[in-house]
Amino acid sequence: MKHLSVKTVAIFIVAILLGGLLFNTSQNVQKSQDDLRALHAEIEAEKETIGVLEVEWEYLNRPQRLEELAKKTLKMSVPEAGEVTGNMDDIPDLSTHASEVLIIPQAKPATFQRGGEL
Amino acid sequence: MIFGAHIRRNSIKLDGHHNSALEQARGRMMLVMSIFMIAYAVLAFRVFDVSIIQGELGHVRAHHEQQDTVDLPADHVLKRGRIYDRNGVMLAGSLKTSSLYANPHLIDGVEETAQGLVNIFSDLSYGNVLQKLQSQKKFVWIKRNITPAEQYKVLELGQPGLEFEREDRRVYPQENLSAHILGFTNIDNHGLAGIERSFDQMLSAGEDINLSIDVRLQHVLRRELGKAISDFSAIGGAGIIMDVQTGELLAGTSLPDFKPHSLSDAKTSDLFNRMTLGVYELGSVFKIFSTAALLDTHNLPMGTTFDAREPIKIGRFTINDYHAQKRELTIPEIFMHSSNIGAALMAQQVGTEGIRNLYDDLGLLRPLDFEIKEVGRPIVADPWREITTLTASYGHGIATTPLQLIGAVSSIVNGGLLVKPNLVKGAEGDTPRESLRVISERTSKKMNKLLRLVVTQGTGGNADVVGYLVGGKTGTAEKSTKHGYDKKSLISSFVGVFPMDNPRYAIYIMVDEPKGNKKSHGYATAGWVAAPAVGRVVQSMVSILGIAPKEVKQGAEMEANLIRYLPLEDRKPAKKTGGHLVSY
Repeated sequence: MKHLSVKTVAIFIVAILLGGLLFNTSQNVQKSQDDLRALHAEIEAEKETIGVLEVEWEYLNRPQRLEELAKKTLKMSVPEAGEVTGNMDDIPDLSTHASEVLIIPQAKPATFQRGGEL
Repeated sequence: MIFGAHIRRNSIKLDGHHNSALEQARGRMMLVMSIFMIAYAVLAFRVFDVSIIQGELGHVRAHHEQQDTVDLPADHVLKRGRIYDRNGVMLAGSLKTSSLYANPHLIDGVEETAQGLVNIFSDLSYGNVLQKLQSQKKFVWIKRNITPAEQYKVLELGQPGLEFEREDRRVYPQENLSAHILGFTNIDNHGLAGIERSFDQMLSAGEDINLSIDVRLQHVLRRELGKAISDFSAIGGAGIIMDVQTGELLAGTSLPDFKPHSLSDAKTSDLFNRMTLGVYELGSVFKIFSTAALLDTHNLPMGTTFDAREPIKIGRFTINDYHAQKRELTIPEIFMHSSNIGAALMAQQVGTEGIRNLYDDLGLLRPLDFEIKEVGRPIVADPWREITTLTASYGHGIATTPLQLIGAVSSIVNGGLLVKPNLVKGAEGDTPRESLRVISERTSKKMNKLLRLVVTQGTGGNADVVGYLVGGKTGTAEKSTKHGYDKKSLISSFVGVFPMDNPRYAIYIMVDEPKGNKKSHGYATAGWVAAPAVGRVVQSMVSILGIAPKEVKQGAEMEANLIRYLPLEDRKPAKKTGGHLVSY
């Protein structure tokens, strides 16, 4: 056993340790790669979902549909030119008349005049 | 002793020799053994690694990958770019869908499989599918872009020979709304028409495009054009809204249109783009150009009269008036009553050269250089004779696309600088603007007053929107057939501009073959068909864009100094400004 000197044994042990370390590292790298791949896949899947949702959002918000819904559920219609103003003072302050009028946008503003008697 | 010693020494020597050889052999064996041991240990480890550690996890990973068909982004296929409107609303995008294909070699029970597939996809025919499944190929498409529910049903058939591929599918969330502008792609995502075609390379490279159109205005325009078409039982129409300062197309529509998702259902006539591809004799709206030519080349007072009592006869042609006044007319009168005779006389005074030059400068004689390739070539008389000058003055004998017309009108009203119609929005703050002057600013101002006069006093009254100073010009043209002009099939159009004191928007609506109705007392002319539609578009536009109305004091109207050229009995009182806003 003269030839297996302390030095040789030590080298063996170091080699085995290094081998183990290498193995461990390679396992870690593989795991990280797996994680990364999974994350990328998740991101891609997420992006795709977002894409689908964006398309759906645009589809549901298309002006034609909004107009129909506004007409049907809110009884709103295209404002006439006379109902647009550039002057804030033209807009009546409904808060001071709160007791007199029913403030529900259920019809064109013009009918609020009659609304005073409600 | 000596012997012994000798022997011993010898034996020792021998022994020593022997011993060292044995030692060496043992050492080597040990070395070999340990190498083998390490090798086996490594192998054992590796087996453990491969079969247990990687085997289990790796399986999961492979499964995961297959499900998402996603690998590292490096080899991810580029998605076709999206198309947005000016406010970032998506007009076209791409979605991943599954496509079904078969490997006929792996199909077991061809007939049942074919029957099963036909039960799932009602639009497939049994014979067709059967024929595909019994072919000798290894790959046949069964159906592209199927829904998840359909995919689920196919999986339930349990056929190993039926497989899926993830593919991109083009979607248009706004459906028909901008169909003619966007165009469409084939199943392999190559653009075949519209923006999809002209920007195919960019879109294929995954780049997005922002258009200058606004979906809200697009909707308003399409709605009102559609209403005009159905109210007057027309066969179609076109509409455009343009920013007169930049030439940007804010909306553009051509009806009938098509559903980009079900192209196979569309008729050939649905695919025809009347806005950019159709060329029409657009009639009296051309008086804007001939009048501008006269005012720009001759320094004439507005009160200059032209004798419109008699029709003009040149060779076999006779030029007549539709709204005949049978008297001498001033320039404003010619314009607001839309007198063909007057316009022809004005053009005569300008001369062929002058008319032709202005028309050429305005881009009416050449095909338009535009961002979509479906652009019509104008039809112009060749050679250009004197009679061409006369008829071209009121929009006959020259056929152009509606897009060219509104571009030319924009160049007249915006102060006289040529604008080029454009559809793709440049980067913010980067608005390339051609500053080529086509008419003087003074002429442009005069034209704006004349255009306003048409709406307050003349044929365009139905386009007026109180508080927004709409101006414009009507144009009713008979369509030409093989046997000359057909009095019954008309092209009725109106080009409106507002606000006339500082023009910002031009709106053009053209209705193809309208028929008069009860409300219009049987008339199908522009003033009844197109002008009210433009008025309604303006009305909706102002609330969308948040434009405040302007109050104009009586007597201070911009067209006031033109009214004095009208006979007293022709003058209409100004409409009252101010709305129906409530006051308590």
